[in-house]
Amino acid sequence: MATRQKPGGVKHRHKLWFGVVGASALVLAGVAAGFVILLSGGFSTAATTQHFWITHRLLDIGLSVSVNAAASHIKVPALTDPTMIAQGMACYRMHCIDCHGAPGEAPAAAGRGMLPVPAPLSQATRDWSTAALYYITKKGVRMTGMPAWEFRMSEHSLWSTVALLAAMPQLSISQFDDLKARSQSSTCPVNTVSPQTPYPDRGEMLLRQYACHSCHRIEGVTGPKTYAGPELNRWSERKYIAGVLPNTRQNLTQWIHNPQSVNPLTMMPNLAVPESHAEEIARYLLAPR
Amino acid sequence: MTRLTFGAAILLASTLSACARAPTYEPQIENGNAASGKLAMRRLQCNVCHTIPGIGGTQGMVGPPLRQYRRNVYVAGKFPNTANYLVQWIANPPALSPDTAMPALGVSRDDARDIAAYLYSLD
Repeated sequence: MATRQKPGGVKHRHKLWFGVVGASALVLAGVAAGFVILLSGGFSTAATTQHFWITHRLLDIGLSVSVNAAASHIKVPALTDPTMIAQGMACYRMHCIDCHGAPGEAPAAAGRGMLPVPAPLSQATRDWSTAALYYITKKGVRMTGMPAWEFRMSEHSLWSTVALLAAMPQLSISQFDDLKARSQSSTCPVNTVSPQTPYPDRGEMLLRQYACHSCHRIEGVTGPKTYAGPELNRWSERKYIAGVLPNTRQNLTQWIHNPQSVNPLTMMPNLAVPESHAEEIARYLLAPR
Repeated sequence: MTRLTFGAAILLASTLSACARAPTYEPQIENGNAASGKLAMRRLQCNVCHTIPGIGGTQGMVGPPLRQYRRNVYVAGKFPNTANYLVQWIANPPALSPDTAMPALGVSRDDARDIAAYLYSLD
């Protein structure tokens, strides 16, 4: 049965096509213009050149939406215990103060030259929920200078740091300095527990979080074109570690955990990988691919 | 058509970015002949332990692959990857690093220089 076309239907369809083609052309022109600007060298990557206002606002919105969504299921423990705040101070002094500063204390040199500039954390509890502060501290923020502290701090250290952040707006300079002075003998325990992520993603995550891919090219791991260390492609087939040690899981774990214990002259530095994590990384590297 | 244009744009972009990132470091071996080095590597069967482009035969995985060797920052994970160290290393590895698994194959200085030149020609 022939469908009867309403008068004007064909014309309408033409309009739709015209719109689609026009929109595609615009998108293409935009992409092309983007490439031209990027490849002409006209786009500045200098940290002295500020983002556009609109870029700043868009990034802020993106961060806020993403963090709040991810943090919505996090259960916040009690954080008012003074020993917890004291522990948090040890972590803050060791890991946060250089970039974020503290009440009455400026950030160190590196923290002042960054784009985006690290936020003063006295305000953090007003801008973010406690769960969000924990999430940001634990996971970091990509394309800013904020690292993930998940593997640099134990679960308790992370919450202790958040406890300090929660207490900070109420602290005077002298109270803060007093707390800081008393934390000098404390350290900030690291995380030795394996992440919940399933294997093999867990292995790759650990490998990235100890920055293995900054010196080694590893198949399946996107990263910089680096030649400081040897490539680790098809590692399971290799016979020796560092040219001296038979390539077994046990030896590889020991090597990753403490390279200097195997070969004191090696250029590979000790990355403070706990044995539990070194074993996961060894397992990942030794899996045939 | 749209896809084609997009593909062409990506191709152009990657070509240009490859140009933009061309490394400026060009290691040289004085009196080293890359073509002779390639023959020496075949004769000495370096490929039994190492994967080496252009050598053919077995592509060993006992030692590290030697692809893009000139880009490596270090020799044997211990020494700067410069002409001097690399030639010394090829000629007599245990002399530089006594516990290395790489044996001294009695490579002459001339062969070592040629082999280093071949390795530095790989990219």
